[in-house]
Amino acid sequence: MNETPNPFPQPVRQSSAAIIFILGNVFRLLIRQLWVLILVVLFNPKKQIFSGFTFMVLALALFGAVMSVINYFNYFFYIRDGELVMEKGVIRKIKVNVPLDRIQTVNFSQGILHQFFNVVAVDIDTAGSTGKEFSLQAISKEKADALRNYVENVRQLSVPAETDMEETDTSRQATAGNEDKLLFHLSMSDLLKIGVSQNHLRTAGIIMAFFFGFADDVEEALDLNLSKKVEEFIGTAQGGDVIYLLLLSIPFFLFISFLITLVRSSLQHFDLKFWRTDRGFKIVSGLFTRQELSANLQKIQFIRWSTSPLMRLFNMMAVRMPQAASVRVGRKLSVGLPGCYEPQLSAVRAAYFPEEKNLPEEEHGVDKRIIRRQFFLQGILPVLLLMPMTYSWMGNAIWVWLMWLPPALWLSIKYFQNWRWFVSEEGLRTHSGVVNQTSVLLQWYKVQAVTIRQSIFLRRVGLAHLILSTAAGSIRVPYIPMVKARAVQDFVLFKIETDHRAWM
Amino acid sequence: MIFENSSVPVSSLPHAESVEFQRLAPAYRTVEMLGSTLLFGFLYFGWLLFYLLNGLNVEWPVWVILAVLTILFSFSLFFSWKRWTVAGYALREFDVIHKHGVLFHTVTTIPFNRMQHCEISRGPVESTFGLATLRVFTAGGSSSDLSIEGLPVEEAQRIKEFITRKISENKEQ
Repeated sequence: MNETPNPFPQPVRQSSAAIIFILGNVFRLLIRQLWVLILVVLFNPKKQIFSGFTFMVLALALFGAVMSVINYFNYFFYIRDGELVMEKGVIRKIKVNVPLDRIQTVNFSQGILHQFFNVVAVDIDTAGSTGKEFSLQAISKEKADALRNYVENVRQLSVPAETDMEETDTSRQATAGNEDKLLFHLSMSDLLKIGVSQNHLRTAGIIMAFFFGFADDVEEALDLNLSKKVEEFIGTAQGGDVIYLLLLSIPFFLFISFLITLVRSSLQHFDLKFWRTDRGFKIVSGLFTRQELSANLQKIQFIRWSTSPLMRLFNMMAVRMPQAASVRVGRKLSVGLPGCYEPQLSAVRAAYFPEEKNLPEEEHGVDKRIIRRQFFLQGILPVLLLMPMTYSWMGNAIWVWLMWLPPALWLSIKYFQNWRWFVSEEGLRTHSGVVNQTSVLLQWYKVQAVTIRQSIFLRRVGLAHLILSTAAGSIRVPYIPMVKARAVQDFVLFKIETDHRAWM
Repeated sequence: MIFENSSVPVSSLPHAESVEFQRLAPAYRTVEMLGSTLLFGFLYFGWLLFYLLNGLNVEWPVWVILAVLTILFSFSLFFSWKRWTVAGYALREFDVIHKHGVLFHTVTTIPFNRMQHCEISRGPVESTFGLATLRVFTAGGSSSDLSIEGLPVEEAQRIKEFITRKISENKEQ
C-alpha cells in the first residue's frame, strides 16, 4: 500500500458554511437555557415586550453571534508529525493533539443544511481518553473523505504486517480500489416492519417524562398550577368518570407513542444502506439527516443481535457491532442495523469471526437456581412493592397484583431454559432472554479482563458469574458452576496472553 | 468435560486461583474501620443534635433510628474488618490478579498485553497511614479497569514500575 500524501499539511479553516452551524449551535444553546424566559416574554400578560429583560436576551444573542464568527476565524486544524492538531480559542487558546494511530473512528453526518452547502460534519473519536474528542462543524465532502482515507491509511501502515489476518488480505484484494459491496438496502416494507417492532413502551416513558418536565417548567414560568387544576377537575368528576377517562386515555396514549416511534425510526433509518468496505462496514441512513457510520473490522469487539416477538414474526433481528471507543461516543454512535435478515447477520458474523462456522462448539446452560432469583426480582419484589404503594387508590383490589406471579414464574423458568452459552476454541456465543432474546458472539482475543464474581449466596452453593470485559463493554454469563468459571478464566487468559493480534 | 476440543487441555493451564495472593498492608484495615467510624460518627452526631433540639421528649421512632444506626454501624465495622481478610493481589508473568469484596467476592484478572497505563493515587487518609491505591487502565471506558486499594506506598511504586515496564515491552512487540 503506497502512502497517501498528507491532505492538510498547513493549518486550514473549516468550510465557511461552518459559521452557520456554529451560530446555530450557539442559538440552540441559548434557547435551551432560556426558553422558559423567552416564553414568558412572548406570553407576557402585561405586554411589556421591550422591557430591559428582552434587551438582555437580545444582547446575549448578538454576543453569541459575534463570538461564533470570531471562533470560526480562530479555528484551525492540520496534520503534522503523525498528529491531528486542532487550534481554537480567542482569549484562552486551546490546542488539541490527537495521534493519528489513536483515532478509532471518523464518522460523518449530513443534515439538510449540510446537504444544501455540500458539506459534512465530522466526528473523530479516540479510545478512552475523554475530553480529547475532536469534531468539525462543516468541511467539504471531498476534504472529509481525504481526511478519513489518510487516517485509515496511517492506521493500516502502523499495524505490523504479521498481525494482518489472511482473511482481511484476501477480502482487501477482492474489494480492491475502494469498491464497497452493498450488503443490504432497507426497503420501505422493511422500514415499516422495523418501525412497528420498536419498543413503544420506552417512547411512552419518554413522552411522559417530557410532558411532566414540560408541565413543571410551564407552571413555574407562568405561575400556573396545572396539577391543582387537574385535581380540581378530578375532584368534581364522579369516581366512575375518572376510571372511564383513564381507560380511554391509555390506548390513546399508547397509540400516540406507537405513531411517534414509527415516524422517528422511519426518519432515522430511511433508505438505509449497509456496505461491506475493505476495512469493515459502512452504514448510511436517514431522511433529513444523512448519517454515515463506519465500523472498522479490527475495532469491532463483539457482535450482539436481538429480537423482539414482533421481529421474530418478521424473521428480522437488530444487530449491534460495539467498537472500541470512549464511553461518550460509544453510546451515541454504536454502529448497528436496526433490523435485517439472516443473510446480513451471517455476513457480519463471518467477517468478525471467520473461523466460527468450522469450529466445533460445546453447549452449556446455567444453574437452575437462577429461576429463584428471576422469580424474586421479577415476580415477588414488584408485587411486594406495588401492593402497599397502590393501596390508597385501589383499596382491596390490590390483590390483582398477585395475578402477576404465575406468569412471572413461567417467565423465570423460561429464562433458565433459554440461557445457553457455547464455547469453542476461539470464542464464545451466548443466547438468552424470553420476550426479547439476545445473542452475543465474542472472540476470546478481544477480551481485556476476566472477572469471576460471587455473592455470599452464590458462594455457598459453589456458583459464580463470569464477566468478560472488552474495550466496548462486558459480557456476563451468570449462575455457572465455579469449576466451569475457573476453567473458562484460565483458558481465556491463556488465549489472550499467547495471542499477538491487535485486538482494537 | 469442559473444552474437550481444545488443543490445550485445560488441566495443564496455569490456574489463576491457585497462585499465592499477596496481602494488603495491615494499616488498610485501620483505615477502613476509621473511615466507617467517621461516617457513622457524623450520623450519630446528627441524631444526637436532633434529640437535644427536640428537648429530650421524643417519640419512639427516634429510638428505632438509633437502633438501626447501631446495627448498620456494627455491620459496617465488620465488613471493614473483613475486607482486608478477603482482599489480595498477585502478579504473574503475564497478568495481574486482584481479589476483593465481602458481600460480592470478585476476582479480576487483566493481562499485561491488554493494559493501557497504570497510576498511583493517594487520598489524605491513605497518605497519613502510608498507603496508596494502584489503578490499572484498559481501553474503552471503565468496565474493565482495576484498582487495588491499601498497598504500602513503596510496594505500590514497585508494582507500578513493574507493570509499566511490562506494558511497554508488550507495546514494542
